[in-house]
Amino acid sequence: MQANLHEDEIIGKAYDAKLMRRLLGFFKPYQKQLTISILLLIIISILNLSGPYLTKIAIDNYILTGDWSGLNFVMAVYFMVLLMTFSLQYTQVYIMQLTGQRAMYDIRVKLFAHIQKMSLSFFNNNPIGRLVTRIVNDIEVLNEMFTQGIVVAIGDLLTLIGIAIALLILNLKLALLTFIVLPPLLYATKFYRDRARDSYRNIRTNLAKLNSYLQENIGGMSTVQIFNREDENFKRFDRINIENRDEQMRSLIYNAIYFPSIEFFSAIAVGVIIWYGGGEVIRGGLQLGVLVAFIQYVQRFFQPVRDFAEKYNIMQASMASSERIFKLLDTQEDIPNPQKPVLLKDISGEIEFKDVWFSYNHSSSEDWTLKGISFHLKAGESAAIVGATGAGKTSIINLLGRFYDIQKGSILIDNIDIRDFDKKSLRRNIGIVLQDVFLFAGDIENNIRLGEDEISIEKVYESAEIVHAHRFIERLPRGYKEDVQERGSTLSLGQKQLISFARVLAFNPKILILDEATSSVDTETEILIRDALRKLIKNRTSIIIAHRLSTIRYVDKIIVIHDGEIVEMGNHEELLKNNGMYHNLYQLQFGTR
Amino acid sequence: MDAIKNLYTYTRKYKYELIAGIIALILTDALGLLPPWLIKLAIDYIKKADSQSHSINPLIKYSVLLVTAVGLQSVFRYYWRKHLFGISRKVEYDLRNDYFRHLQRLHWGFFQHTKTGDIMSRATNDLQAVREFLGIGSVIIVDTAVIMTTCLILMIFISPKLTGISLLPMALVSIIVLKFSKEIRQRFESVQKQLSEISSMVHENIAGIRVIQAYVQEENELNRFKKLNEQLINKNLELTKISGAFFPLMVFTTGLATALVLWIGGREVIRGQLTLGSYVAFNGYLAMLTWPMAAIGFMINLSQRGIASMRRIEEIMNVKPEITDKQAAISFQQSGIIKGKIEIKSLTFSYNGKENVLSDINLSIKARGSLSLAGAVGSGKSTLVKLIMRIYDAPDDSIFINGVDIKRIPIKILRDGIGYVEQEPFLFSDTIRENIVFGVNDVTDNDVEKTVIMAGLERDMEIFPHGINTVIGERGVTLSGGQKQRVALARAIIKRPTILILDDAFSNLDAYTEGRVFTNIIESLKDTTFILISHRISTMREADMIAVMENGRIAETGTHDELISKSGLYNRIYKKQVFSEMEIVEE
Repeated sequence: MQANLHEDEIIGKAYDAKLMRRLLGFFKPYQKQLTISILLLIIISILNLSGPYLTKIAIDNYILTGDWSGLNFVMAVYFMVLLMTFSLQYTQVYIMQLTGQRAMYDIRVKLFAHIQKMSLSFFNNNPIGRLVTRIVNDIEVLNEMFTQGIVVAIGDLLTLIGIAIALLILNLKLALLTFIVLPPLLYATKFYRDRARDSYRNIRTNLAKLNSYLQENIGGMSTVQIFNREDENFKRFDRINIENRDEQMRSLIYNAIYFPSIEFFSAIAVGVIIWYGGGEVIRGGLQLGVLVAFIQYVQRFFQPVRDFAEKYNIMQASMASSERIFKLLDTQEDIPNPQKPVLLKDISGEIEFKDVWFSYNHSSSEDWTLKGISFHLKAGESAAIVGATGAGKTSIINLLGRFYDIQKGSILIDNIDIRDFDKKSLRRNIGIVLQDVFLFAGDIENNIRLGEDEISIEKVYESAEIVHAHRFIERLPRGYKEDVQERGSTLSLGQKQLISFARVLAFNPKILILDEATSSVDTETEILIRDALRKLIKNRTSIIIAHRLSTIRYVDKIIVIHDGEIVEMGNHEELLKNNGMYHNLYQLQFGTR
Repeated sequence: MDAIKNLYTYTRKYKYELIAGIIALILTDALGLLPPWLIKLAIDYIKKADSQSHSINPLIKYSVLLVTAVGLQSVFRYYWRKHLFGISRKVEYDLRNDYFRHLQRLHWGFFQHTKTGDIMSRATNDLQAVREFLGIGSVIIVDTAVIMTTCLILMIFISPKLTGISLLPMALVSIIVLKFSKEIRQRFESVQKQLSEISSMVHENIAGIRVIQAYVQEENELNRFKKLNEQLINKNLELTKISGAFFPLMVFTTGLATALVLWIGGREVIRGQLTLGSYVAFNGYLAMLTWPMAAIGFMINLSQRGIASMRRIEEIMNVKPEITDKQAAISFQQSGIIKGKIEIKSLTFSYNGKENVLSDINLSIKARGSLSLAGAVGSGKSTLVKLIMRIYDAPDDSIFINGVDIKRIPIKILRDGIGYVEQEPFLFSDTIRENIVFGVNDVTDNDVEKTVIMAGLERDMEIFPHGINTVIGERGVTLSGGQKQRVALARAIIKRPTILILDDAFSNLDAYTEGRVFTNIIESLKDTTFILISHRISTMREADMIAVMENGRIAETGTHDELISKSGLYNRIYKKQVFSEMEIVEE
């Protein structure tokens, strides 16, 4: 999760008008709910403030005059107010949560769909952990801001203003006198906020460090033990742990100073009210009830101030999160669909590479991975690509499915440039088997047909049967319903390969691209794989990055690549006779070893 | 009650702080009783003074006293916060360190059978619950005891009748907190679970994005994602239904208590049974009671959770390390570094005490010699080498190094002498250099450089953005399987091990690179005893002796040439490889 800690921990402003406007855009469909919610908040704030005022009326108008029925009436009103506050508050919270959830859902789906469209170079530059954090955690932070931060802040602000107005109406002079405590209070809050913000940032970073170090050590514990690294790693862990503890203590001290200080300011305000206000009552310039109401209001005044200081962190974190989310949303799709895409229906599968030049590095044209590759495969023909690591073999197969786009030349399928095709319909016609088989969590059946409901269960069985996967699948305790653990760790390497063969066969593409696995499997499975492979390439235009001699012997054409160029092309016997690079590679295998 | 006893042991270390904190808290609470009383005195004075012209001097006295009392209270409040919350942080630190230390002593089997996420959640969520219990819990206990008793005494002193009436709704607060917070927690956890499900779905989606795009599954994936998120909305709303009622309900009940006091109390004031000041003071004390009343409910939940969490942490702390040094091992320590002669005598081993994974193994490798282990997947090769390193423990007197039972060799010395490279090695998210020098202390740049060349990594280093100082896992620079294996190899050989175990360590290298690297190592580590596991005949044949394993037994032993001439298992493997599995060599 903490793949890129540093970037994720940068926390900036607590409010950014531009970001906020864009965020609010996502709330447009829910304008009505939002308006209701804010209206409710205003009513609730007023209701909340009416308690002390009702107390004042009760004291001044009824208790001091001895009016029984009046007191009963005020009490009835008081009770109604309480009941209304309760129901309105509940309604408001629910509406706000509902709205927030819907809007977050919209953002999340939009972000996920956006990422689905990105090309491989995007995924090479963005670690998985970071993308998951964007889609899940960052949006949760936004949710927190909307349901707790902003709404509570608006409520608090309304309460503050309401109390200030109530005080001013009750008695202007006493109110102004009470406000004397405000400047030092605001100063203390700012002082606290600045320190708390730094501390909060450090704590987040430390905790992330601490937990990722722990997690890594659990994962690699046997390595730690075998290399006798327990003491050194414990020392490192302790260092992070100390850092964390000390930072937590620091933040604790800030709280221990700030929160009691607010009580103190509140006491000063009450002191002023008793001193001056009490004197006024004695002098007859003020009613006793007003004095009592004043004391009650002032005590309520300080809660929202405390809240503000605490909500600041949420606001900051959410601004940072939304900035990262938008940055990701703004990343352009680098391989977009053409304006008027050609939909591939029934293709024959003819492939032609025409002077193809390609570089992974867009900026420098010096760094060519492929330099003028040209070859032609008739429908149903098969070709093996051989050459050293880094010669450009993998690039050739990445280009055909448009996982990357070429810089010069053209790639044609059925004589049409692949850049003119609809991207999805192009890929539907190409089956790709990768070197490292990727299995999804779920059962085997699902790993063969993926999410495609059109592929029947019979088709799944049949495909597995043909590639020799059926037998071992049947022997599993739950057969095709057997759960494949994450990344397929319960199956052997060879079995995983057979499943990926079954997958491609079930999809039955016209064109097959296959990157043979280098890793060794036991001999029995090896024979099965070899036979399955032969069946796969039958009646399909196939391009195979080959590591097995058996494969090379079976294909129609062998393309030998060196340094991004085709050095030789032909079948096995022809190439051997050529006495070129292929001959050397072959000799190396049999001669020296 | 072991959990509580254990927590007590951790807390005892800080007993002076604890006592200081509790005293500060009691003083804070005691001082807190003054303000309402002072306000009462002031109001009663004002009301009495109403008609005549009195001096305002007593009012000045009351305000100054009030500010002083709260000022002092703030100071004590600072101290109890610092001490009581501080202790919980310190205990958290101690516990976390102990937990980590303990994990390091546990054997491999434990980590095989326990999910990382499970071990992690005990160190994060459970530890947090324990800390909250210690920090907030201790405050609540003291707070509740002090405030409840004193407030109640004062309230009863003012008016027993009002006390009785107002306590009814207040008791309700306790019950609400208790009921609600438990339910809220459960629903909150279900939201968290849904979130982590979404996380793993997204994680998998991105990890398999090539397959998804190649098979045009984007729409299906999006729908799956939407469904999970709709469930999230529902779970969140379920949570809101109850958590949204919690706070308003608290406000309602406390408001109800205030209203009742105003109503009944107001009548008493009219009747002259209660002074107005007393009424206001009563209200003040009632407000002070709100928190302890709510706290009782919190406390019950916090302690339940804290104790349950402590138990979960203890479950791990109580796991006994299975592989430890024996008493007799200590004398061996002086005799120093192990030498590489290995003997295995009638070794039979089983993981679970039922099925034997290894049966009656007898082998002997002379110092500086080499052995290849051949055989199918699951024949027991990896188990055998793991026993030599004591990753699992073999029975006594079955494996000897240089004539000494390995169980009598201190583990540190044993493992220091062995280099081990596995098929899927674990590398740390540090620089490549840090990964290579992982097991050695003093090492020169020259040593590292030589090792890099020996492991055939020098050309890879040129490609990485920061060469050997490139951080593994940062940005796009993840290593290929073959690179990982070679870094792990470098990590093992830089130790100059007496025994080097290569457990299918080259499986991701092509035959040519494997041969080159292997020749390098054999030539540079002349004093090392080798144990090799490989699928390639070309590597296996390099060993002095080959042992072919089948179903946990040794089927045949001999040199490559000897075994080929027999028509055993080895011969069959050889034929298959040479005649049909020939690979095209790269580079």
